[in-house]
Amino acid sequence: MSYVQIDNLTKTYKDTIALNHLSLTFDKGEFVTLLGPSGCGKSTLLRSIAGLAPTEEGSIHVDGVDITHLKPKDREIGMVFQSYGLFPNMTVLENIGFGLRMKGMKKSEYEGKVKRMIELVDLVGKEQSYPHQLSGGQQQRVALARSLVMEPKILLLDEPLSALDAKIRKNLQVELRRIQRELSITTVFVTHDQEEALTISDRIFVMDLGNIVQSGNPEEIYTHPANEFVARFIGNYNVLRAEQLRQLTGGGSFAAVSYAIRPEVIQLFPEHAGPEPSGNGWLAAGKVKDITVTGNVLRYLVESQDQRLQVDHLNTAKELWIQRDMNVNVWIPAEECVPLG
Amino acid sequence: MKAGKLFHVSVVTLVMLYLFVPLAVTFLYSIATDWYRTFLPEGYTLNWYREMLTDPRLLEALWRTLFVTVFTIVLSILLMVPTIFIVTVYFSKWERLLQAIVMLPYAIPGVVAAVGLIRIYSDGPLAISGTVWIVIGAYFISILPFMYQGIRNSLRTVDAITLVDAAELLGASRIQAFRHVVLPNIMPGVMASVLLSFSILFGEFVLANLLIGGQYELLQVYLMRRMDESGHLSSAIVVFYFVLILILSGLILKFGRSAKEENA
Amino acid sequence: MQTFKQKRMLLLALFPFVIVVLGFEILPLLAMMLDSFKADEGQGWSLMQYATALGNKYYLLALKNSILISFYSSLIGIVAALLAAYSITKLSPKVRNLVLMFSNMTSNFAGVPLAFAYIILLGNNGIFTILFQQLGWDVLTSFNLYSWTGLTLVYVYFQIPLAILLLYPTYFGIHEQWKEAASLLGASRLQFWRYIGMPVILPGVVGTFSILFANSMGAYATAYALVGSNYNLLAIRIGSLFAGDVFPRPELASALAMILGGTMIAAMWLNERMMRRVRRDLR
Repeated sequence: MSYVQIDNLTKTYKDTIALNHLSLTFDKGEFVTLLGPSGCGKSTLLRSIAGLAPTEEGSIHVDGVDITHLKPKDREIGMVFQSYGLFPNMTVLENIGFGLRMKGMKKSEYEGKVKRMIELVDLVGKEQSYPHQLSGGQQQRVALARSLVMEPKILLLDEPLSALDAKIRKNLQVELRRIQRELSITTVFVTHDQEEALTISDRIFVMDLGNIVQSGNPEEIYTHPANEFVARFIGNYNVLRAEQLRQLTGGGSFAAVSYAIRPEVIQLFPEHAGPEPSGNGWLAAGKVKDITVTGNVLRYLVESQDQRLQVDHLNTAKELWIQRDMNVNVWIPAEECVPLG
Repeated sequence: MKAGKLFHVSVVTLVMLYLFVPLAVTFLYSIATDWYRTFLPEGYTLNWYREMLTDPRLLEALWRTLFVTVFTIVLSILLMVPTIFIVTVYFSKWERLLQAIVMLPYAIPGVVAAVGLIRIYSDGPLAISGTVWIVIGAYFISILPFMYQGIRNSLRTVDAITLVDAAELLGASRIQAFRHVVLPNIMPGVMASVLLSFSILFGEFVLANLLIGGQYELLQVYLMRRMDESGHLSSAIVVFYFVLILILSGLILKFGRSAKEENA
Repeated sequence: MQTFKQKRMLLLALFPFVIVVLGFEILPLLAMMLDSFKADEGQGWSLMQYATALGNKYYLLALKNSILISFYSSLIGIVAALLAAYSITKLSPKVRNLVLMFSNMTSNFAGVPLAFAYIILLGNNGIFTILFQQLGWDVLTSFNLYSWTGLTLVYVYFQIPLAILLLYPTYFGIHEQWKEAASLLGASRLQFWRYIGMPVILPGVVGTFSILFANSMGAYATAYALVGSNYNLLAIRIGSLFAGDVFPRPELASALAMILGGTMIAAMWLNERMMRRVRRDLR
């Protein structure tokens, strides 16, 4: 039996289904991410695990114990909120020590533990500060420490980084992963940011409309999206139906309903030119309709056989020859066409 | 969960009942023929209202109150709008001082304010004590905090500074810009403060009684003097006064809301 | 650049406002302050008014009465409003707005009309008084509207709507996530309120208490309408010292007014101090 086992979990709000007979399992020490657009049910799932959102059907087992009907405080689960949820009237020390104090521990008993936690999240010197005196990133570290000091069985993170600006977010991602590895704590992380999910997770569950649509490690999810939704959500894939692909390649037999092609695998060549005839694939004539620069990536919009394709290339001197409205040849490698279910 | 809801509903009901009973009884009393032997009045009549409406003293007190109130509020708008505008736009370093001056009356009870006013105006070159002018002056001060807040917020939400800049670029003089652009735009927002001041001044007793009393009988003073004579008549007057306040509150709410929507 | 002439025009426009404020706010207050340090009939500087005010048992009692009734009516008012305002947040939005509207409306019901309503309700010939006598219930026989208990009851009436109006928004300062975080960390509902909820709304409660206290310290109309000058309250004393039937002593009235103001400021300061001891995070 897995460490965490969720079976047939169901929850509805008025007339929308938040969790649709959802089941999933993961192991002890894993860093698991629930990824999906807003409204997909990922936050509801997290809150159900915490006991903050009662469910109608199904069960949650942690370490073999049925916690489905336990109160939040009896679940031994820690949670970090998007807006931190720090108690404004308490210092950093008091915030982190709050849970231990509620357990009936005296200040002298828990102070050492709290101090160690403050070192772990790199907040030494801020013990006596109040939340409003800290930056967003620091506040989130306090919230993290406050949960971790309780040594919970599972740590839940509800979009903990999305209120922070990009640079701090990147730093905290790394920090978060370091701390998680150091304590080897089972962690469930919720985000709508696919890049963040791919960077940080051991395993990703992609959610849509209250269902889990795909699970796997980041590599699998990115290279082999299971369906059109995942393909579009994960990597700006070009998704083409079989007949569209047939039109584009001018023949060939395609068995699946549709195919996903990553923007960065498509190559562009000058008119009448093509790749060394080594690989397996198709060459089609097209026209560059638009070019956008997004820093290190050049993004082309290419039209070929009435199909629009997005093509991403690294922004190097090699790309200078490509101009807008230029006629080009488009090379699509066969092994990069991922069939979708 | 259910029990909790019941608890909250009972608490609210109890408190609201406490607030409601005196009002209800006053109303019943005003339409009762006799009411001292039975649980409910023995009979109902509109005589007290008839008597009230034909009482020349009430009508006079009402007109006086209306005059004093309207005069004070109009004066307040005329003086406060340009003052707040000029200070915020051209002398912003004085804003704190202005704020302190207009908020001060909020902390001064009427009876305290009356002491100094009578002291200054009972003799000397400006012996206006006992005239309507001292009341108007005192009322002007007592509504300062409310008028300031309304006008200030309005000026801020309509972004008066930008409006004037735009008008000036289009060739208007400053005074024209103020009259044709700023004033009409802030009036809806100021309306809520105006009505609030209205209901405050209509219910004002301390200053009216101490500064002018029977020499110029205002509504609350009249009510006070009438109380001992006829309970039923007085309750009719109280109900009348309360309905007036009700209408004013309703209007305040409406103007407050529409001002918000306009600025949304 | 603004020219000198323009600036002078602007200043000129401020002139009427300055005159009225000086004439009816600043100068009267200054005059009152100065007066309080003068002997009777304005004869020379002296502290005798304060000596009278604080030495005379009668005035001292008035001060004590004022403080006590303000304290008790504010306390009862704030406790009732704390409960009521919290319960109001738990109602459906529609009912909530209705209740708030009614509560706000009754906040205008003060002074003379309020006193009158209580007289017909609980006065010597009040409806409840007579009714209860006839029914043989003696709950009210020991109750007297014109006693301190009676006056407190009337004061509480105008304190509650004001307190609800001021306290209601502070409950929205409590984030739902604090409750969730606290419950995940093992705190019970009671512990949440004890360690987080109450400290968070404390500044609002303290501020409201100060306003209620000042409100009833300065209240004049309600008591005056109930029994004329018979209550020995500071505000009533001040009123009768310069506009009443006794021999006018404006200097003493000024000193009492200064003491009244001083008490309100002292109460506010004390409240602030106590609050800061609990909420060390504020500044």
